[in-house]
Amino acid sequence: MNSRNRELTAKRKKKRSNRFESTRKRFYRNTGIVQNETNWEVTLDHRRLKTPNGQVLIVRSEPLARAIAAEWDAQNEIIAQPIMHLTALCNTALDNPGKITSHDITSYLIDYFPTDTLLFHSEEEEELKNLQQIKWGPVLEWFQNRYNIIQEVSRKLMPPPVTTETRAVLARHFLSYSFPALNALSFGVEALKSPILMLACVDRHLDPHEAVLLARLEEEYQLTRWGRVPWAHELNQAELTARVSAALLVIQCTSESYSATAKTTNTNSSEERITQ
Amino acid sequence: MASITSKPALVTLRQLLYELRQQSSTKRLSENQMVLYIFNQYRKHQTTDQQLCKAAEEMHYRAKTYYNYLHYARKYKEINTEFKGKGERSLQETANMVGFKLPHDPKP
Repeated sequence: MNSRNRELTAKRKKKRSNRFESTRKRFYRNTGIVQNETNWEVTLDHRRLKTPNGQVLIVRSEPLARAIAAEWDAQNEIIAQPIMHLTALCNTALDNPGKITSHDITSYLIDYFPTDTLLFHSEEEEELKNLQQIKWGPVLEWFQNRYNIIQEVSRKLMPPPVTTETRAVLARHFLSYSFPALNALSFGVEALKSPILMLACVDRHLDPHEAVLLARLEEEYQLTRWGRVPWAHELNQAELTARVSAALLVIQCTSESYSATAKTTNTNSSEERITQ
Repeated sequence: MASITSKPALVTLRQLLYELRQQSSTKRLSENQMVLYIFNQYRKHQTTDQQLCKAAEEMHYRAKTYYNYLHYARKYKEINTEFKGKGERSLQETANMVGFKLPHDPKP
């Protein structure tokens, strides 16, 4: 009896794991969004989109909900979940599988900061050193002016010293974001390997495309000498840019600072409205 | 600079529409909810033309970001499908490659 039970659970587990590993086919025709007061939900053929934990996927912003609906609409035949970054970021923010708080992410980012790509300048190659000075210099200057701090760069393997004031300023800034935004921010930082570049993007100082080029500066420099391979370098660049842009969209949509409100209000906006 | 009817903003609009046409499952672009929303937003910010307006600037940046997202996600998919491996060869195929026959094949 006992062994049979065990067998059954093993079988069930296998089945479940198979379900997640196998690619799912598109099972819906249309995607849409539903407004429910200030919350927005995504629908697949009138069924509500849910997170892996089974909660209904709720976002606070209309453009984000529309972008997620468009993302599901873009799947033809097979649902390519690994590259649906917007959905994934919203899922993670809602489910919080790591059971982490904003403080955890902040301390992680503060620990990450000394190893920022932009703080490591080449010592050996003169040409690369000049390139880094030209390309990274303005961003570093912008960063220091924006947060009113002074940050040294490293020319060796050891990370440069970071003062306690810098840590405090950055921590305060990171904590001002909401949890979904902060989660997206750390996703973007991990893609760029640089909190400075991500913060520059959030402040609209750089485009995601430019930021990825700056993050891959050394690789780009080496590529001019050794040649470019599409299935490695271009694939990597495309993936990083998609990741960073997705993170930025989530940050912008979840923390709208200067968003404009229309003067003429719709009379039917308070009621639940279904848009296809 | 902050105007949404400026040339760069319209270039972004055209790029966005191109990407959405590539990925949309609806036949006509005017049926796509995202396209309608984008047009709506562009029209809404048209009124703040010649002023330095943060909302319009923010909107253009968001449009650019969204374009980047759609474009590079598509590019990633394309490169991936082009260079993706087919998996392992079957026993039969490998045998054929080196001119062997499988044991149960009848000898000529």
